[in-house]
Amino acid sequence: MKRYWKIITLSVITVLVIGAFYINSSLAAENIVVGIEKVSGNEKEIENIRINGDLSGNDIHHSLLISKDKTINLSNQSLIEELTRTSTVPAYNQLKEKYSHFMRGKSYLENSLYADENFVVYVNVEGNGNVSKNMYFEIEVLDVKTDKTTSMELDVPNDDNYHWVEVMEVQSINNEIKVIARGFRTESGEDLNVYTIDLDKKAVSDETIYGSPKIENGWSDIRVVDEYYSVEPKKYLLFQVYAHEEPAYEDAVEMGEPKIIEDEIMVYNIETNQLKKLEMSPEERGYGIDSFAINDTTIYIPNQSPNGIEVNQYNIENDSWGEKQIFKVEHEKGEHAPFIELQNGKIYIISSVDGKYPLAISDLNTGQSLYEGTLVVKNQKKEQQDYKLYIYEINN
Amino acid sequence: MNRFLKLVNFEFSRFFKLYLVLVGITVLCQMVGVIFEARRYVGRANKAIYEDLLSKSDFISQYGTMSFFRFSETLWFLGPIMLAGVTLLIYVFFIWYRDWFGKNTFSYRLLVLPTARLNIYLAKATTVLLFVLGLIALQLLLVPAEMQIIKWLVPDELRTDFSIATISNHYYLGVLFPMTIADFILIYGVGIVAVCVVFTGILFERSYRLKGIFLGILYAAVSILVFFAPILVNELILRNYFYANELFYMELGTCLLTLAGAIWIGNYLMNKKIRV
Amino acid sequence: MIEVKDVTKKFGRKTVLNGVNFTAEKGKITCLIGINGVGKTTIMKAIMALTPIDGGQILIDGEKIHKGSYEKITFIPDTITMLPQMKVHEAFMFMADFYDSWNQKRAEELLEFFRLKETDRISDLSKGNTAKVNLILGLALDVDYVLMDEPFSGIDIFSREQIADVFTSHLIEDRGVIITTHEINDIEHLIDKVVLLDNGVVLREFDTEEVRENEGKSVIDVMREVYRA
Repeated sequence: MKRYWKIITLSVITVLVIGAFYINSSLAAENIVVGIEKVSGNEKEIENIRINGDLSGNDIHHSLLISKDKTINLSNQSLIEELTRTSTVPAYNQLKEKYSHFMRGKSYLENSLYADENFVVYVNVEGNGNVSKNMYFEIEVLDVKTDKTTSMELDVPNDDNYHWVEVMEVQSINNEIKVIARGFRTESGEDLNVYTIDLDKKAVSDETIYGSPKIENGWSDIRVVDEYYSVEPKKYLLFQVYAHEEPAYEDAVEMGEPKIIEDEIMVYNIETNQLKKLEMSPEERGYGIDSFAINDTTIYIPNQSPNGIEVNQYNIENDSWGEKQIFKVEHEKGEHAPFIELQNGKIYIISSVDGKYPLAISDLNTGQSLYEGTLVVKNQKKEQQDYKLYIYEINN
Repeated sequence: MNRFLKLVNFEFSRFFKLYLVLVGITVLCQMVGVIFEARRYVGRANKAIYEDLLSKSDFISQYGTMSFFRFSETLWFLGPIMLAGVTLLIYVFFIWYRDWFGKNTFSYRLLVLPTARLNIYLAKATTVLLFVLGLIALQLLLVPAEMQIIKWLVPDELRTDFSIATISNHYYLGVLFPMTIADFILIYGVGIVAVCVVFTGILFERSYRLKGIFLGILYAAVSILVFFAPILVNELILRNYFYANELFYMELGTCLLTLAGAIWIGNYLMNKKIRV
Repeated sequence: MIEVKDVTKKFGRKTVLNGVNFTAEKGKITCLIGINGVGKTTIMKAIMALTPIDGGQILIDGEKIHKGSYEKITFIPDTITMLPQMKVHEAFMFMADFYDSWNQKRAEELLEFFRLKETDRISDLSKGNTAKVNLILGLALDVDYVLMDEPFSGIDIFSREQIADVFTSHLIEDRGVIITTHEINDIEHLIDKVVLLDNGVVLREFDTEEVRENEGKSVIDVMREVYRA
């Protein structure tokens, strides 16, 4: 036994040291917890809230997913957790849980999914970027009640006009599948098309909702207000058409400003195929179309005002502008802008004041405050005192 | 079991001196390095603050604070780790070839021991594992020592302290020192599988000589394919049919399969095909 | 008894053993004779499973070789098979560690007989002394069969005499020995059986005592006969 002292010593030390390290790791538990402390209002408002934010400072950066009862540190996941995680998106995970067989192979394509009580529909364009092949729709429909899946492949009509067709939205209305897609024209510009798919006849009819102008030297595109992760039924689609011409160059110096050819915001009724232009001045557009939100039949347009945010309402069906609502925001100067999100008829504002992060949820229609609270970084370590929380997404 | 342990001890003793050298270099290089780097930082800070009259906070926003992680990116720290890595890599081959090409062909002796020849294979693999883990343990002892030295040499305001557990988050350190014990077993387990595949490849060469080199490489390629089969099939043929957690378990399965293959084939070669 | 039955072996395209058949009995000294490269060493390695065979069968006491067989049979090759940096006593300790049949007392006796020291380092020994230590490593095992490959090759006369003495001693008495050598003169009087090899086959397998009595020939006489035929 004495002869073996070297190997025994090394083995014992190794086991002890590595064991101690992992016991320490699990006890020390680098768990950052961001709590939501209520100041006033209805706690139900934050019941299912999910806030994505970064806690960073000193070259260290933690990506956090904050919800009412727990905080997930996406930067601090173990390898096994990372390897086995499919998605952090609730809409996707709900579908995966309910229809796990149907959802196979459909992880990254939320734009291509639609779900209601009767059907789950998936439509995507294959053959993009493939010069020799035609583009075609890959279609799968799950009948929830019978648990039967219908699948088919149908050619994209007029695909010669485009070198790329990107699905923006899939909706099922009156037993018809409507696919709204952006076609990138082989010459310049983009078309926003609606493809109506008849499953029984196995036919696709197409119609161009709007085409952006053809520009020789400049920019021409269509930007769709994209509600990420939304697979729900929708009535309206909001988009912006924009095109400008580059100014002339003389001796590699720009002569003048780009000339704006077109810059319109449009609302499209998916059911009736009707198009309506939204008349707004550039100032009224506020932060731009990406900040607009549609809830049911109302479009909300946020804009900066001296003390906060003013939100303009436009009722699509009545074609009328509603009352402007103003939401006060207190925010420390010099910090990045407060986080604002309009979702489901509510406005979420997270600002940064004195190292604290107030959260305010208000009703967009009435302007009333629904919930007020503060995001607090609990158990903040001494070395993390100067860390700043930066929010970039909210889902509820 | 008894003879197996004796073989492990035997292989261990053969490498021990070189191992101590690696340990010594690591300790020396990292200890000298941390003192050097800490002092250099403070020196630079002093120069900037007292000579160039930069304010402390300006200095920090320009150069950053001194922290263990800053030190961990220097060659003082990384050099010994890379040296150890290369040495162990060479040793995976050397541990076999030494027995044939050493001054006295020791492979004769090993192969006529009254023990299953597989024990020779497993003893060599165990020895490699023991040495790797030993170096990991060494590093885990050095890190807090280095952190303490930085604490002693660098004033508070210029310093950022971290707890030891945070090394699991830092780039490549997280591979050597993963966050959970399950991750640890996963990573080093895969490492052992790789070592066994190399071992069996070596045995192909020792059994068939020139033809064996091709067979060994072919075997290794097949092993890699088997290992990655679930991922490859899922992505290339099945268009991501399987969910991530399902894929994970399948990969665990093929990992074990690859290990079993390496050991089974190695055993077969050692018993039926090997020559001294 | 060691039985070599119809053993064939190729090295690349060259067929070295082409159906070799012979037996070696316990209590007898069997000598394999043939020109350099005929495959004597190969046969010995094959018996010890140190090289694979392509055809045929080798049985030791009726069994195919397995790990326990190594407590019954040992191979003393023409070079020492112990780590050069080991001292003699460390080599002995290694053998004692792994072999139940290691006889430490006998090892020490032989060491004394050869006038060597435990503390000698193997790499420092002369060629003759190295061969002697090599012998001890084989003979100090209480095995039934001992295979010796060229035990006298390159050894000085006096060492050779010492080694030859071992053959007459109790150390060899009850064991089965297979030996290959060119120096038949030194041990002709000790050999019980001769196996003549040529071109991958056994040309003649005979008992030396019988042949001497019945045919009046010495081993070398028979060799001349067979090889010149």
